[in-house]
Amino acid sequence: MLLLFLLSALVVTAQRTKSRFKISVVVVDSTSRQPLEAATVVLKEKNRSALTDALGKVAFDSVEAGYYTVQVSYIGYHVYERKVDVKQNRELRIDLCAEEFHLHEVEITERRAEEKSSVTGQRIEELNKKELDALRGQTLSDQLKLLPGVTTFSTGPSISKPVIRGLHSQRILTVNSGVRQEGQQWGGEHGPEIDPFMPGKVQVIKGASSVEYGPEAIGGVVRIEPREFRSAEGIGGELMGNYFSNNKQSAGSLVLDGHHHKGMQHVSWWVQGSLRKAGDSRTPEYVMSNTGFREYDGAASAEWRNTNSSVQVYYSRFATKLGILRGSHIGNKEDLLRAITAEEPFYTKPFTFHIGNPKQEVLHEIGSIKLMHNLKKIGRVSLQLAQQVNDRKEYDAHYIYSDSLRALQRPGYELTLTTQTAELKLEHKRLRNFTGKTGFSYMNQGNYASGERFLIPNFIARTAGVYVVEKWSKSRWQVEGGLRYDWRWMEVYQNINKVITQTPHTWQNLTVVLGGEYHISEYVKADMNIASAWRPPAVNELYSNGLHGGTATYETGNTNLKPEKSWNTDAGIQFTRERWNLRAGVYSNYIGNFIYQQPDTQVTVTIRGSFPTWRYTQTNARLSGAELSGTYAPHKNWQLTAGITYLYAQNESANKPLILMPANRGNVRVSYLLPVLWKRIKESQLEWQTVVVAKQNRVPKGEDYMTPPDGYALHSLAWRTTFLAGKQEINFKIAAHNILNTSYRDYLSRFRYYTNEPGRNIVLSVQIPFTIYQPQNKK
Amino acid sequence: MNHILKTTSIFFSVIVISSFFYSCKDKDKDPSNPTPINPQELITTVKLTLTDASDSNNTFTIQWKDADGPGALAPVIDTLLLDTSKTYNAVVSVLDETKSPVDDISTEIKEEAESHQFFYTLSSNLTGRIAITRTDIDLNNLPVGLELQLNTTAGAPVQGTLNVVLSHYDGVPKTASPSAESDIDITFPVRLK
Repeated sequence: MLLLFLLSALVVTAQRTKSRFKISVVVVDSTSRQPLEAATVVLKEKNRSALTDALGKVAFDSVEAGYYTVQVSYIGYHVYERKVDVKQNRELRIDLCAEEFHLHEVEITERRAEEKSSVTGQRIEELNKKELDALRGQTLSDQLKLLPGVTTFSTGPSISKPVIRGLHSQRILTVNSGVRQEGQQWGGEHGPEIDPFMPGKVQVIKGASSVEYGPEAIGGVVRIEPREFRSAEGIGGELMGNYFSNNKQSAGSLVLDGHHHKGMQHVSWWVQGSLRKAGDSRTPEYVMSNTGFREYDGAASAEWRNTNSSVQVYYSRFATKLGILRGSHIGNKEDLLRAITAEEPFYTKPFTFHIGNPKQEVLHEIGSIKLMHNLKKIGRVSLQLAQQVNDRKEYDAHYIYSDSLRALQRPGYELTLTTQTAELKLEHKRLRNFTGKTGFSYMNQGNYASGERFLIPNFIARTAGVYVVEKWSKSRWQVEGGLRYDWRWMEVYQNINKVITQTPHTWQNLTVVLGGEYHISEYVKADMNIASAWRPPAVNELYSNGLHGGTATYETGNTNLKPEKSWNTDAGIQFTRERWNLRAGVYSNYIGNFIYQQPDTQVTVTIRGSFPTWRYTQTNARLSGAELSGTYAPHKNWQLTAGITYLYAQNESANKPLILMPANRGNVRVSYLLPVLWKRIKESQLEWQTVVVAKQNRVPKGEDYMTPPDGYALHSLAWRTTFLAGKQEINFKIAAHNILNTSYRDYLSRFRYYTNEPGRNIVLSVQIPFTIYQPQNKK
Repeated sequence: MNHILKTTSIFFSVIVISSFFYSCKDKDKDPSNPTPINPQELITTVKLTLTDASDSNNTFTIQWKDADGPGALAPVIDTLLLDTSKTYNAVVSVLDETKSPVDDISTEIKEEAESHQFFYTLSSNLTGRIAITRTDIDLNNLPVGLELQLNTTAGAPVQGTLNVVLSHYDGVPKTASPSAESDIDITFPVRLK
């Protein structure tokens, strides 16, 4: 209905044509002069893209007069970018240089064609550097939650995880700089270990992606790409700072980067350090005691390359200490029922930066090396080796009875997960109408548990996979298919009464993907994707056995669980034309052997009281949904963005809704480019945003202590500006989130039993890019 | 030549870096050699030792015991058998019997009396027949409940329950009402002869 309205509005605006021109592009190989078919040509400012035909040709119709950037990319070739002044019809011939040849002219950007991160027809949402800059300092999940189909699962203001189309934690894969990030991601209260200042680009691949990413990618993938290397000779950097009024958070990050070249040899590098420090957040009514955090992050990367090869090293370190709302750690079910009816959490104190128990201390380190080489007639081969260590300590307010022992500060448990990964990949050159890649990946993992109480056991796991993905493209069509085989072996070690037991598990599976894209016209594109994915049961689902603090439940694992296997179908249609960009998509994700917790009729009686027993069990589930999103620019200064996300999640075997699924929601954003009144101001923009979240009415009956909270609407206002202090460019932003100081609770917050969500938050942020050294005359 | 030099240097850097990856494994944390999970503190047992006020030789003990802690084996719970028209003095002891020697947690509770309090609640059919008074107090004159007195009245035999809750006041002031954190919450069957 909305789409119909938007489309009819479109017809009206399309008729108000002013003077429009046509840009025709021919793409050829720079040495052979042969036309290149299916090269991607992007008209950046207009967000339009198209593929060249068999003659290497493509055209953009009815383009307004202006200054545009044309970008051309093609596998095995350097990305080409140039500015075009359009005052009349333009014809461009673009000579694309193969990666193994040529010194490049000034106009050509020194970047490689990007690696493709998904299969045709898979839905990708992306935040680029500019969009991320506007959201710096917020957690990664908060940065992502404005994308259609993405929501968050939170444990207070310091921990939130991205939820993609209703799935999160062990069903989402995070890929950090090309490396599968491996922490204790199964835990709902274990946030992703990513410095929010680090990413240069974030992509969210929605839906099953096992063929390219291996097991676990049932719900989707969050790909974090670090900043791009500096492309021009010199040394520079960036300084970023934030202040958040609600929790008096200050955050800052400093980046230094450089690029040097001699002949065809290039060396690039960057280093980054970030700090975040926050005290207790507050709701409109009270302080959320013990919700502060401190974070100290650092990362560095360097690359050496010549025309044919490159070596890249990367290291990142993430260290956080964060408090968990004191009022959420209660003794037993009776305590929980009391907390639900209470006006405010039982432990509410004045604001402080102090972090007491319960708390978490997490350290995550990743080191990787990536080698790439262009083989002349074959394509590009790459090898990435990585090691990462995730160390997580959690301190309870409970399980230790005496105040004196609590004061000793020994963690309730500590988990150390060490992971080595290897990824070998070959992307072959275009052969007739085919492009594609094949690869092998291997992962070795060891988990060591210690502490006061049992959570998950020790294990060693090994995973290996092989895959092949091929794409066929011709004129208006692109069809892509892939196949993958994975094998995982896991051995679990337990020490029960000084006897060590070993329990091996082996799983294997085949996954497939098939996707297609068809350009119905220059403006309209339709796509579809069918993909399978799988996930062996996680160690907590197999072995957990104990009390769960915040939810007052006794969780019991099940060693007989089988792997989850899913089939996801995704279809969408996209319309892009000057002022308009609309997309409508539907999906249906069927997950066989879906693992979830089912309340048992028997309670577990402990000395602390009685607790409902939740057992891990399996069912067949279906998550279906629709996403509508669009932008419309009625005037060059105005832009309107809107999106709607709908999800219907059903436990098909038991014929009841799935528990803890995100509510339906919509958002509207209006931005206005303010007229420049002072010559020192380069640009300034005002933006209003409203997010509306419905109440989740689809919940299984009698499985939760509390009915889902009511829906809510949050509004925010932001002013962004770029001004010049001398020659120095400074970006400044002031924003008010939850500007009306609305009290609300969210169904996907683990704290919904205990507290309202944070109230108004005024955010100040500054970003200063700088240059330390740049040679005067190029070349 | 230069080319060979480059290739060898890449090769060596790979060797160096990958050996670094494999060498920084923590030798103390070998997953195939798990340490037993050994809680510093675990309450396994709550004992009530009752003495007939009129006959100090009439002493008996009942217990609520979960020998292996939460889960797995179910707790073993004794029944509290009381005579009518009697006064009993009772002492509570809280133990961790997984330790050797047995850890007496009641001494810690006594030391931290200002942040702990026992509450005793009888089922409604017993409230008219048994009166429970906590007889010990902390420095602020609030009851602790490690010591108590039970007074039974005459009447027909009756069965009911006694609920024992230990409230922990951690960072919140101790008051006459239970805290939001229960360290112990157990129920004994009670029979009044």
